[in-house]
Amino acid sequence: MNIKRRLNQLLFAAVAAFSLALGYWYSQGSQQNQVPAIPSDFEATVFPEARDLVPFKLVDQDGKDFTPDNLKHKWSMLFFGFTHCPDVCPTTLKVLQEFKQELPADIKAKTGVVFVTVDPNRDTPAIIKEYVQYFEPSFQGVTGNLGHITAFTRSLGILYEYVSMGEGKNNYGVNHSGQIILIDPQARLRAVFPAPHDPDEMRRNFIKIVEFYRG
Amino acid sequence: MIIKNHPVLLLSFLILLPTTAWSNHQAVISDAWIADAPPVSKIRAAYLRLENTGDHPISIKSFTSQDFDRIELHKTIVADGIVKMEKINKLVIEKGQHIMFKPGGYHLMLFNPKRKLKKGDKVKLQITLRDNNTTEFVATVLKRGEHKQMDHEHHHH
Repeated sequence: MNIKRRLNQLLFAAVAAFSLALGYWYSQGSQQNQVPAIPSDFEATVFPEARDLVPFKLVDQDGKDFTPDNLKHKWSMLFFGFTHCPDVCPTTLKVLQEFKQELPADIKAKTGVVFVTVDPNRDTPAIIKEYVQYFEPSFQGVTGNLGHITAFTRSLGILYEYVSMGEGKNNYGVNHSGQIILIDPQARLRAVFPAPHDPDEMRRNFIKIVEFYRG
Repeated sequence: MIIKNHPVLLLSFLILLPTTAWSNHQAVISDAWIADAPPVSKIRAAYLRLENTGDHPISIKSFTSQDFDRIELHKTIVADGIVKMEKINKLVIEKGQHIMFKPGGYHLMLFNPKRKLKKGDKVKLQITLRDNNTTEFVATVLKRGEHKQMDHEHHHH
């Protein structure tokens, strides 16, 4: 075997080895940069295409306008209920408080919880403010004109109806959808969390969704 | 006349008379608590454990308290994604059975607190059965997270 052929063989081996190494480094790096896929055991329903919200004009706990612009630049968990509800609504707001409390700091800073009343006739801005801030000072409360509330809830697939609880025109309860709606920082509908709600499961799903769509 | 001629009958009657007092303690309530809420909440929830320690079924008639205008028994139901509160007008507990009233399930709806309630306060309530026997019990006002912690502590024993 002459030297030239030996050198060719060595060169070939070197290039082959280098290519293999390069390929290995690339695959390792690419795995680290890859966004985790949404697993099949996801409890929340995620919309692959985020949906723009139908324009709305509601009123926040300070009596100011609440529109899609108020939902931008952060992730918002929207929950629908009414302050005359003694069991489910306080329980869910407590769940939302626990859910938010244990979020990683960077995600927590961009997470909001919004309580939307389906009983605007009784739930004035002042009442809503005292109610939601009891659970967490950062929670927002939203009320408004009954027609506007109905249009808003309907556009999100949220249903509600009033049921009499006896005598008296203000003696009624509200049956309502129990799901929590996730709105992304572009004020688009991104996911739905079905009832019943568990804070740890909610947090796990939420973090996965936020990280998946961060880019 | 009949009893006078049958001293055993008279004696049996006298001995058995006090046993009717035992039925007052058939409905045993424990771990009763009222969820703390902001003053703006005029409808509160109370939760408890209700056990029938007697030897026949008991039927709940009503709950009362001097600290509230009225009390109703409700059950939260989630069906097809819709949350409803169903008023329970009849609740029967078989002998030896118990029912847990807890968040998301059976609960007492307490209307219009007559005094300001805060964490740690004790509230007297009464449960009346269909046979009109009434038992008084005390519920403690607790924050929702507080009671969950207590549940966990009990389970770790």
